[in-house]
Amino acid sequence: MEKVLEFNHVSLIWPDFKIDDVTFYLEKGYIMGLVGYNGAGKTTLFRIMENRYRNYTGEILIDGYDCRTQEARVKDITAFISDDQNFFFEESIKRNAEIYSPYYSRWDWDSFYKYLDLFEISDKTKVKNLSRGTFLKFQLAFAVAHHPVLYAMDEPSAGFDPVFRYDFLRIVQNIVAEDNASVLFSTHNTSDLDKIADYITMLDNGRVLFCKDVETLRDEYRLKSDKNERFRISMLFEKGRWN
Amino acid sequence: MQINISSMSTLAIYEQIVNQIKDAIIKKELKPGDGLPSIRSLAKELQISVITTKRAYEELEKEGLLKSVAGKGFYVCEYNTDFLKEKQAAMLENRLAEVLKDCIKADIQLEDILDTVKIIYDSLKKG
Repeated sequence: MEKVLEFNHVSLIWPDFKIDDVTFYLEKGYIMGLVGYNGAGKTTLFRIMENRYRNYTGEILIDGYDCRTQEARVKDITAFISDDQNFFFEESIKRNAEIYSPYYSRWDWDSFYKYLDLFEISDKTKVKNLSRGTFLKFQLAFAVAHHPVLYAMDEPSAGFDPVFRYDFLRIVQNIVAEDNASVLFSTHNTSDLDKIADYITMLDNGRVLFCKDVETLRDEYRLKSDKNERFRISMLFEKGRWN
Repeated sequence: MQINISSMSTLAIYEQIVNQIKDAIIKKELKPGDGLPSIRSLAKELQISVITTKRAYEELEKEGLLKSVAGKGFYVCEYNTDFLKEKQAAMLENRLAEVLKDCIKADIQLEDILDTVKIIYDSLKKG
């Protein structure tokens, strides 16, 4: 088994919020959904991985590299996708790719343009003029172009229309199959995860409530439920069922 | 072969895959030695989790219908089709017994049952 992402006892304490001893791992080639109520700490975990907060204890490894001390290596092999990624907003998509691509050892222009075409995005558009959904599509094209081992996506599908939402899941499955990459993705719309997630990690108040594969969750649900209803991840949010 | 997942079925998704592969083996759509799609490509095609396709294949492996070859994937086993046919015959016998029980309850004579069976059989054969 090859661990692509490893959280080992990660804690971060603020006066009004904490990440509390978060430990889990993700294997190569699998998709993990990160779920939890608002304020559970999902976005904070992504930001810690990106080294935006450094004063945490414990360690995070991506493909064996330490997120805190080997940032350049980690960013080369990880695609961080979220609303608040930094680009040169006044510049065009093409210019942004020209500026950033030298930092990626596996950058591949063909993939970049393949996905821009697929998403019908012109490389002449300034990043600041992209809508939320298109900004995320652009990031996905940018991500695929540097062939990361891990896609860390914080609420990627929130800005997508229903049609693209569906396409997006296909694209994610394709990427995983083609590049044997892994995906960690948080979402409030858990129906996205019902289809494609292999593992679910549930956060509550900065702690990991559980990290299980979906077949185990389905079995547990079947044993507990007398209804003939198909398990959906949203059911995990019905209070009392899992505690 | 084509696998179809029904969201209306009361069977779990992995069970639906298991059953359809078994049917394909009995019907010889899948022959001994045939390779199956990889867990990842099947997951992609059916838009389900890799864990689910993996579970289905492992379940079939446990029953001795598939074997996994490290680094290559899953294959249909050489010998187990007879065993599967026996199992299928036993299942059909049970279903027939159910119908016969009802016939006895309704006080229908064996000759009449056999006549009816023959008529239905002939018409099905003709298509």
